Amino acid sequence: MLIYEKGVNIVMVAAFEVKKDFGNVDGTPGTEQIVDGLGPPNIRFKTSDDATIDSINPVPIPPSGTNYSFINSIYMRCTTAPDTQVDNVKFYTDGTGYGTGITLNVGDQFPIKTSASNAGYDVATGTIGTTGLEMTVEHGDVTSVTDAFTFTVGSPLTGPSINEDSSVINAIGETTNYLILQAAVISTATPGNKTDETLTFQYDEI
Amino acid sequence: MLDKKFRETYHWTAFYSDSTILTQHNEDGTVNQYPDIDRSKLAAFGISVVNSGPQAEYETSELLYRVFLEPGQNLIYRRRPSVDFASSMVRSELILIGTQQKVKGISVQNIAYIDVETGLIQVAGKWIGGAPNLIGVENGQ
Repeated sequence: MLIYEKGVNIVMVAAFEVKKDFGNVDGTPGTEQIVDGLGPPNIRFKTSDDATIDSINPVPIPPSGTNYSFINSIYMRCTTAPDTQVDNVKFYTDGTGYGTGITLNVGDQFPIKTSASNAGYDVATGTIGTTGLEMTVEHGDVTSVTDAFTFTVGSPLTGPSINEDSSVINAIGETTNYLILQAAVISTATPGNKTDETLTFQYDEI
Repeated sequence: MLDKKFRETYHWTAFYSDSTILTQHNEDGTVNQYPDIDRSKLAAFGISVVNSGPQAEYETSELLYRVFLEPGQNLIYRRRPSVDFASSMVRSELILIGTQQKVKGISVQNIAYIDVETGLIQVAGKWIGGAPNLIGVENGQ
C-alpha cells in the first residue's frame, strides 16, 4: 500500500459529450448541438432537420413503401483529454427496437468529422412532414446501412472511426467521425410516440 | 452512471525487473503515459485504487489486481467505458488487464475484466461469446 498526500494521487480520464450537427449546408453545419440537455428523449427521428424534442413533423406511416426520418449526424466530442489516447470506438443498442414496421438504420460508413473539418457533413433533406431522403441517397459517403438494433453490447458496431491525427483522440475538442442514424417506417407500423431506446458509445482508453 | 472522480481513483503501476516501479502519476502531480512504460524490463503490471475519506489527511493507493509477465508475453491493458447517448455520462466501465502471447503461431490471451462499478473481477481468454459485457479484444500492444 502506498500513502500519498491528499490530492497528489490524481489521474485523468477522458470525458465526452454526444453531439448532433444539423442545419445550414453540406460541409458546414449550422448548429453543433449537445444532446444531453434536450430530453429525454435526446434524439428524435422526425421529418425535419432540427434537434427540437417535440411531436411536430413525425414520420407518417405510409400505405405502401417506406417513409424515412431525416438523417441524424451524431458524434462524440472530447471535453476532458485522456492521459494518453482514446480509440476503438464502438456503438451498440439495447437490442429491443421500436416495434413492428419501424427500423432504425445506421450507416456502415462514417463520414469525416474532426476538430478541424466538417467535410463529411451533409445537411439532412427531404419533404418536411412526409419523409427524409433515404440515407444512401442523401449522403454521398454512406453506401450501405444496417439495422442498428442488431448491434448489442456483446456484438457492437465497430465505429464511428476517428480521423484525428494518428486516428486517436488525445485532446479537448477532438471528435469521432459521424455516426449516421435514420428511422425507416413501413405500413405495418403502429402510430404514436415509441418507447425511448438506449443508444451507447463504447471506447478504449489508455 | 459512474462519477468521473470515482473512475479516476483507478490507476496503473508498472513493476520492473530491477525492482523499480513506474506509476501512472508521480508524487509531484505529473503523469506518466502508457507508452512511457519500458517493455524491456516490465515484469508485472497492476491496477490500484485510491482510498480516502473526506476528512483524511492522506490518501492510500491499494493494489487491486496485478498480472505477472513471462518472457514472450505482451501486456494487454485498456479502460473500456460505455457512454450513454442521452446523458454523455459513462454508464459502465471495464478495465481490461492481461497477457497475449503466440503459442505455435496462435495468439493466446488471458484477460481479467475489472468492473469499475462493482469491483467484480472476471478472467477469460479472448471472448467469442457468452456473457454480454465481455467482448473480444485486440492483440496485446
